[in-house]
Amino acid sequence: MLCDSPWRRLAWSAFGRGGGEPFWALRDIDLDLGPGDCVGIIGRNGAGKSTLLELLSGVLRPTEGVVETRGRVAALLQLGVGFHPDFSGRENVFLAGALLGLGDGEIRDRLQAIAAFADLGDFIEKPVREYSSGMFARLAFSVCAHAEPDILVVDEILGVGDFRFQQKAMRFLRNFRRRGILLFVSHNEHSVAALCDRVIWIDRGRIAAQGSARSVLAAYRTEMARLMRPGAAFEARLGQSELVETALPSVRRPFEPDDPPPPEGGGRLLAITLTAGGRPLVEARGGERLRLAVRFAVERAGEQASVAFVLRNPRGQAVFGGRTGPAGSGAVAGEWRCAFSVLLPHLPTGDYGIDVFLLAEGQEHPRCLDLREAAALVAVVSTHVSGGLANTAMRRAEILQLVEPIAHV
Amino acid sequence: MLADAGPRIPSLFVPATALWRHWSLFRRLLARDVLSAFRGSVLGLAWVVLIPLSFVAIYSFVFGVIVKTTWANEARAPFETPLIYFMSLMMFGFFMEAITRSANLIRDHATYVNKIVFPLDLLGWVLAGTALMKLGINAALLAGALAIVTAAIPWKLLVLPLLLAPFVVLTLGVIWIFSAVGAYLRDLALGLQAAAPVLTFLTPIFYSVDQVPPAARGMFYLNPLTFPIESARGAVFMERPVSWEGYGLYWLSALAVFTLGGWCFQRLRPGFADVV
Repeated sequence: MLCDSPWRRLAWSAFGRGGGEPFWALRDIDLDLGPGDCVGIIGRNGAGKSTLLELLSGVLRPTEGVVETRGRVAALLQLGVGFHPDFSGRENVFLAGALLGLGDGEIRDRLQAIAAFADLGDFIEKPVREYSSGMFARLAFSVCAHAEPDILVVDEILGVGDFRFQQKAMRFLRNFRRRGILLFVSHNEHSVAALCDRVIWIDRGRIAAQGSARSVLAAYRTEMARLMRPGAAFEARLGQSELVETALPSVRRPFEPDDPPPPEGGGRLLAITLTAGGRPLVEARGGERLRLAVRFAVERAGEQASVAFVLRNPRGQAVFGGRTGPAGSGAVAGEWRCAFSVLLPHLPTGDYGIDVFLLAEGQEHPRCLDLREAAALVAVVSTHVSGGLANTAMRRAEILQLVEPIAHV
Repeated sequence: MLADAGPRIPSLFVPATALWRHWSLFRRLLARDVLSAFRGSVLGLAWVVLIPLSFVAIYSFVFGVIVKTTWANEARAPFETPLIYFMSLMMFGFFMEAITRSANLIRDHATYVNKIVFPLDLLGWVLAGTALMKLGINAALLAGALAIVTAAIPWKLLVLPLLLAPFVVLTLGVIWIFSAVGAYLRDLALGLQAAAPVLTFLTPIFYSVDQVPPAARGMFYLNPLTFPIESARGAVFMERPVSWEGYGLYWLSALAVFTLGGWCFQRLRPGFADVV
C-alpha cells in the first residue's frame, strides 16, 4: 500500500485510516504451489512482481489476505544483504548466515562448502571491498544456497556478477527446482523460459495470465509489442501522407549515440512505429525488412531537424543505426514525418531496443532536441546465429572429403 | 529464515523480548556495529579509548585551568572538577548518540526491511548496545582518572550502574518511537539535529538544577536526562544520597516509555517496507 504523503502513510499504519486514496500494489492474487514447482514471474516494471516476491518471502505482510508457507524460505531479493565492505569474506559469511537464520555452529560446519562454492581461494580472508563484482555475487549466493531452503525466492539477481557466477547460479537453481519450490523473477524472458515450466504474468497488480511458460511468454510478448506502438491512429493516417524516404547519412558531423547531448527541447518526438510488411512487428528474423516511422514536431522555427536511431542488443551495445538528412533548410515550426527502411542483420536471439533521437544542426556537433530510449522493441528469433554481435546471411557452407590422399599430390 | 516467535508472546512485548529470542544474532550485529566504525582505520580499536581520552584532556584543561565555574570553588582535589563535567557529558553522549541515530535507523537498514526477513526490533537493541559499550568505556576511563586525581578507589561510582539501568530502558523506548516514526517522516532526523544543541543547554550538564529558578525546576525533571545526571553527580561528587523515591518514580516512567515504545514500534512496523 502506497500513499502520496508520509503523514498519510503514518496515519494508515497507526490508526488504520488516513484519508486519500491508497495505491494497491497487488490485488486478487491466488496461488498454490508445491515442491517441484518452478514458477517464473514476468511483467513490466512496476507491475508488482517484486512486491509479490516480498510477500511470499515474508518480508512484507499483506494489507489484506494471507500468505502461508511451510519450510524454510530463503529470499534472494538482493545479493549481499548485510555484507559490510570493510569486513572479510569469512566475517561476512557469519553475519549473512545469521541473517538467514543459521546458528553459529551450522555456519562453521558449512564454511568450507560455502567457500568452495564461491571459489574465492585466499580472498575469503580479504575485505569484501576488494572483491570483484563476480566474487561478491558468488559469495553472497553461496551463503544463501547453503542455507538449504525449502522455498527459494529469486529476484532478478542473475543480471549481476560475471559470466562464471551466472553459470554457477543457473546450475544451482536447475538442481534446486527438483527438491523445492522456486519462484523466479526476471526481465530476461530467455532465462525464465530456460528455468521455469510455469509462468505468471503480472500486470498492474493483478494476474494477467498464468500457465505454461511458452503460452504465457508468447502472450506477454505480443502485448508488449502492441504497447510499443502508441500511435494506432497515426498508423491509419500514415498511408495518406507523402513520405520522403531519405538516404542514409552522408558524411556529416558525427553523432555519438552512446553519449548523446542532453535533450534541450524545442522539438518533440510524437510517435514511433515499427512495422514489417505493413504489420506491427512482434518477432523478427534476420534478413527481414523493417520500417521505422517517426512523427515529430519542431517547435522552434529555424531548426534544421533530423532523426537518428540506433538498435541496441540486450547488453546495450549499439549494433547499427541510421540518420536522416536535415529536414529542409530554414524549416518552419510544424509536424514532420520520416521513415527508415532497414534490412535486419542476422542477430542472436534476444530483445533488441531501438533508441530514437530528434536532432538539430548545431555549431559543431548536432544538438539533441528530444530522445526516446527503447522506443521500440524487436524480439529477434534466430536459429543459426549463436554468438557474436551479428552475422551476414550465409549463402552456402560446404564440407568435402578429398578422395585422393593429400600426400600424393 | 527468522520468523517472529509464534502467538504465545503478546504482541506488546515482542520488541521487549527480541534480545532473548535473537541473542546470537544480537551479538554478531553488536560486534559489527562497534567494529565497523573503526575498521579500516590505522589505529583501529585504539580509537575507542582515544576519543574519550581526548575529551577528558580537553575538559581538564578548559574546566580545570581556564574556566572556574559552578563547582570550582568547592573544596576538591585538583582536576576533580573537570571529571564532573565528563561524567555528565558521557551520559548525555549516550542518550544523544542513541537518539540521533534512531531517527534514521530503519532507513539506514533499508535492505533489512525489504530484502530479508529480519526482527527489526533488534536494531534498537543493537543501537542501545553500541552506545552503552561506549558509555562503559567512558565510565572505566572516568574511574581510572578519578582514582588518579583523588588517590583513592572511587567506590562511589558503583551507583552508576544502578542509575543507568532505568536510563537505558527509557532510552530504548525512545529509540523505538523515534526509529518507527523516523522511518515515515524524514523531518524527525532533521528536527533532532536542530534540537540537539538546545538539549545540551537544557540539560543540567554545566550547571545544577539547584541554580534553576524553583518555578522552572519541575520542567527540568521532564527531561529524561535530568534525574540520572543530577543523581549521579550528587552521589559521586557531592556526598548527596540518591532520592530513592525519585528513583522508583524514574523506573516507573522508564518502564512506561519502554512499553509505549515497543507498542508503537510494533504498530508502525508493517508499513516500513512501503516507505523506506
